[in-house]
Amino acid sequence: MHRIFYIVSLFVLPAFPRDLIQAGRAASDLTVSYSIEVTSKKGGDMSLGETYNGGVQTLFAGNKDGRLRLVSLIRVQSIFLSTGDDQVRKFAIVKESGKDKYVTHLTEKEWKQHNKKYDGVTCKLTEDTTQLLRHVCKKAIITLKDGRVITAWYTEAIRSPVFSSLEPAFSGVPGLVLKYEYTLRKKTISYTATAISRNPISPDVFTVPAATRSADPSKDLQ
Amino acid sequence: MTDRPDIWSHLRDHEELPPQEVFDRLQYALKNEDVHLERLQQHEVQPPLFLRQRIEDSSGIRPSGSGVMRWYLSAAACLLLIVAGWIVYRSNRDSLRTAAIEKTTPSPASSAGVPLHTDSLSSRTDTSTRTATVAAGAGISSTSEKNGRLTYSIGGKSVTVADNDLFATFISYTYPDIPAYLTRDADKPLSVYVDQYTSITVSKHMLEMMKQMYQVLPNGKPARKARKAKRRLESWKEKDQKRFDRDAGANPLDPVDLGDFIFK
Repeated sequence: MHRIFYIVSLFVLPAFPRDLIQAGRAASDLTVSYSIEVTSKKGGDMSLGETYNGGVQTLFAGNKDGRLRLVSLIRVQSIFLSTGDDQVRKFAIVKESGKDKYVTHLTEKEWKQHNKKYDGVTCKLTEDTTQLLRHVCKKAIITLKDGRVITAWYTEAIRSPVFSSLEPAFSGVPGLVLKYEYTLRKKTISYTATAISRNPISPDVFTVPAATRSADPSKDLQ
Repeated sequence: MTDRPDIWSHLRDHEELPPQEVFDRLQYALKNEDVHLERLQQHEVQPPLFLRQRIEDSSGIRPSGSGVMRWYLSAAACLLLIVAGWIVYRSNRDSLRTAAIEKTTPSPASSAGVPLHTDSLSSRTDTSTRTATVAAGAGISSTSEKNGRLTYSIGGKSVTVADNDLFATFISYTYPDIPAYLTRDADKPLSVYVDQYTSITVSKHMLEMMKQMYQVLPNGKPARKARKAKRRLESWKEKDQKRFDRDAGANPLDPVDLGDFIFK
């Protein structure tokens, strides 16, 4: 009988799908959805802002890979982060909607240059708290060198280095940001987490799609 | 011996020790002569049950499991392994199906000037004001592809989305094929189901503007306000493309870049 057991094992175990084995990494998978709201103190029509009002930004964080995806009425766009076996990180900006879809590939250095405005930001962590999705969140005030301010609410209970890589504004925040807002001329754009999931993320979500053209012709995919 | 009737059992009560010389001779024979005892291997006698019971009682050790028990355990393990394998196979098959759907890529745009197919959803016949479904591609999608084009559904009916571009789709309808959800009273936002991760809403103000864009004169031609609203919406599209498509330094996923763009 033992022999039969071993023989059955030999046939059954190789049949286990690769995806399920990869799901071992699912323990680190994290999906956070943020709803985007554009408001004004005066109220009323937000003009061009209405095209992004009601949109959703979603963070997909894997063990090494990540993706930040914006879906709004006017635009669907993603930023992909992939980490190779040599620990070299690569970024890709993908416009997924419209006639003019494109993919722009960036090295880590180029991505840093792309977010140069966040060099030298100050992050002031305060003791103010609020509760979001049953997480106690602390307030952080991020001030850019030119004085622009982002207010963020973060939970220390969840940490995702992928998030700060994709959102360099929050590199100084010790936890996952569940709400953040930026105000300019009495108008505010706010991102509020509406759902957090630990479900395994399909590897396809982290796969950079092919595009009709590349933004940089020298890096054209096709 | 086991299968034969025990004809000697009645002699148990009569014990007679053999003469000492018998032991000596037997011992000598076993040690020095070739005695064929192999045939005794064929005879098996089960010890009386009380002997096992007494041994167990005196030693305090009981056998951990019988061979039968081990057999059942192995069988159960095999069965469990097979069932687990089957479940995994089923889940893998389902995930492969999903992956096949997800691998659908955005399709080319519809021809310019040609109204998008809306499955006869018109403002005159349909008063539905509810959820839409749209696929957004790039590894994340949940809806179907019809004739190579992504579709979304409203009230169970599918509507083609050109270039995965909801905005362009919403402003490209022509009278009278205008969906009811764009011309209804904008008392509440329109919810658009994108995929398992995303459900966006079209704000009241945006719906109001779209409704205005589809206002028509009695002769069926667009009203002046409608033409003006359409020009405004199209200009937003151009501004957005100019800001985020061409300028590599601007990132619509960045709150500061996006805020600076929509508030200036």
